[in-house]
Amino acid sequence: MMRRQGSVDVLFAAVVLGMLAIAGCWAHAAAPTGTSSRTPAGQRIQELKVAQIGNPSAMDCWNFTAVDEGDIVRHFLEPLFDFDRDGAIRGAAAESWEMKSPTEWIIRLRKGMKFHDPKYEELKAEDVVASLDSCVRETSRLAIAFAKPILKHQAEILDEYTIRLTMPEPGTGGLLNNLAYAYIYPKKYLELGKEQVARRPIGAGPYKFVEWVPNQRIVVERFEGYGGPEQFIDRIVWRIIPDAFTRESEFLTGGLDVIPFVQPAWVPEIEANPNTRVERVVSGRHIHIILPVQEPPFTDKRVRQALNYAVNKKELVEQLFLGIGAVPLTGAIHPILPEADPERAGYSYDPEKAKLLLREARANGVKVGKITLYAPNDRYTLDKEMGEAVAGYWRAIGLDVEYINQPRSVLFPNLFTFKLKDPLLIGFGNIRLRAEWIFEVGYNRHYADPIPEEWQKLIDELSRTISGDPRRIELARKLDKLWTEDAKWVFMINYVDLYGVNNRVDWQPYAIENRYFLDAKPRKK
Amino acid sequence: MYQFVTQRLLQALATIIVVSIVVFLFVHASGDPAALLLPEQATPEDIANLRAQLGLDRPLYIQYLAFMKDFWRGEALKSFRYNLPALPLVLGALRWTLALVCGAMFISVVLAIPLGTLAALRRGSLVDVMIRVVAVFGQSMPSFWVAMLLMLFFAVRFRVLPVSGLGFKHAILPMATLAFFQVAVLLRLFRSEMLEVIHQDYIRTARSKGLREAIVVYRHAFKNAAIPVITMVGLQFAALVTGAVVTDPIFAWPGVGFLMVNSVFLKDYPVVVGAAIVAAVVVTMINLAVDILYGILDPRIRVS
Repeated sequence: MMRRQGSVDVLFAAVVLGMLAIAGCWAHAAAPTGTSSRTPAGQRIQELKVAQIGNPSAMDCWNFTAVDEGDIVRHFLEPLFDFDRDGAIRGAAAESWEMKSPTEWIIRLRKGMKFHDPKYEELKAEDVVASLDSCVRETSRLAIAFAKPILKHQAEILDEYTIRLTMPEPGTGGLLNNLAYAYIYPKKYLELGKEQVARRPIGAGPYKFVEWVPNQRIVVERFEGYGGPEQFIDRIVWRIIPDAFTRESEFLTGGLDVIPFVQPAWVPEIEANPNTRVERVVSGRHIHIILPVQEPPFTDKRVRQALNYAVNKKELVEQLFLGIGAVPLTGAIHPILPEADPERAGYSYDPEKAKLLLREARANGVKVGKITLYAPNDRYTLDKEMGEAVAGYWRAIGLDVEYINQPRSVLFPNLFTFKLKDPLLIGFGNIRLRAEWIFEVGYNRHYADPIPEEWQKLIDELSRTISGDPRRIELARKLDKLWTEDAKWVFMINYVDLYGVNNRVDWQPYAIENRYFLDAKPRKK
Repeated sequence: MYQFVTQRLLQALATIIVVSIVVFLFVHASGDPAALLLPEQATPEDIANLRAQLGLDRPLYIQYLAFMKDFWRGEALKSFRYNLPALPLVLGALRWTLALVCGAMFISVVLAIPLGTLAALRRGSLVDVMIRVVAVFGQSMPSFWVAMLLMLFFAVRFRVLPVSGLGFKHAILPMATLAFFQVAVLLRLFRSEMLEVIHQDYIRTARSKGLREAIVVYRHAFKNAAIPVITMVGLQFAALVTGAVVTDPIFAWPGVGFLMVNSVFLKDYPVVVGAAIVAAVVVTMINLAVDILYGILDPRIRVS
């Protein structure tokens, strides 16, 4: 019995040691080699795998609202216009266009753009009118992306490839920017009903929709009959992977070709891998703190300016974003827009000046008591941490600050229903790429009111000019300077979007957070 | 038996209704989904319009009754987020969860029972100590950490398994993560049950009759030691079906955990409440099955 017991122990120990030895051999032999999936120059990429953080809410124009959908939908639905990498508007289905007056536009369509289903033949004016009529109306969730006059448009077919759009009031200089989110479906397909269209979207884009499995993947395949530029990818798969660590692991092991929202801390590891690289782009999204200007003490400009001077934006960028994930925000207009002044300095870090301004305000009877700063903890990269840092900076100039971070589902309803009485950290992504849009948006405007008439005139003037009009630069920079100097907000940071890209793919990101792969191709050696 | 099963089914129904009401109220108390479904540029009118569209402007009890009526009709109730019917979404996710959980429990039982037996029979020896140390580790380490370690080791460092995705090979790491804790729990339970049983008089009698040790252990001791463990397996199975909220998102496994976490953050009421109801059904049915099995295995329970 004793001998048998001893031999079982020995056997057990031998098994354990054997497993450890095998693991050790693996450790030596299976060093990571990275992927070796280079596509020879001139050939296509068979399948591009892209990480998608969140599940899209819908693939139809009535229900999608955000970039989670827009950057996928663009591949199979052709809009009238879209943006190039510099943010300039260009025709997609539209070949030429003309603003006849502030309320009337003529748009001519490109010929030869076919829908994916041959039954629906060529994209023509009637399809555009039907799509605009169905999707660009107030009942659609996408309506938020459009200026109100555009939602009340009248569309008229002038000939097979020409339409006239008439708006009830001026202020639609940004029409083309708005219509970058107006996707075109076949008229006859729309008549089959929203359910059908939502389940199986058909468009005229460079890729055909294949499938959407919620919480798993979205798949599109190249459309041979596309009337636009040649596509070099046969198939795109968006894999839904919400966990950041998993996305990075998949990317480094070759399971993904592109990952968005790379954390700054991962950049050295990605750049050290011979098969991957990091692409950077200054984002169209910045972070600012809304100050409710109607509520004391924020009614006083000196207090608002003091709150700006107290924040060390450079330190925020260095410490939180490791110097690579953001740049200091120096004004209201997004730095990616041509209207932003590259020379603007914004508010420097000057705590002594901040204290002086506060003393002056108090000496003039302004009561600066406890300030409550709110920030979301689930909406923007490092939102909670930025709020904590700002609370610290404000305390450092002698203010009594309470910091509260909450989910956006709790905070944002108060913001949108104008019940906010305290400063709130918020982001703004300028998907229209229109300089004046940030000053027009409901909550930004409400909490900044009242604004002088001169400012409103600048906003109105800007809204009547087309993107690219040289007059916009002077108008916008003047407005930006006034707005910044008045410190309606505390200016924080502008994101630098970081993308991990496999070296077999030649692709650069866009500033508007949309991940379009329409010009991606195999990378030359 | 018939009376027992009927009684338990009625209890299960009451449990499911209570769960649905409680979860419904909690989810409504946690925030407004309309604000989340719209971009930040939405005006108060946009939010009000969406709330009306989704029926969120009705009294709570009306919303609840409408929800319960539509949910069980399958196609009628739609997810706020996905605009797809909620029940098929939940059932689709449940399919993946059950696949994972079955695999994890199989691994757990296959490892826990022999190791627990060995530890009990070699009580006090080096083998027993090593096995117990492994059990303590298994119970102490948080599952997200285990998941990340396994992923780093097997998928990133040694590339023997994929990081995430669907398929048999892809399921190994999430199954192993879930099994890690389960093995520890079952192992310790089986060891203590076995220790209690092998010191009983009838085992001493069997040994003194000259029966081989293997017969004594597996024919006589094992059956009695297994009964509480089987109960625990059932309870753990039920817990895993609803509790893989950490493992699912890490491995991008589209199970109920993944769906629930997403839906809670997005205030997708139909899916949250729907998933809670489906989970309550699964758990109560498993508990009922365990109770019936317990009665079958232990005649004393049957008689009482």
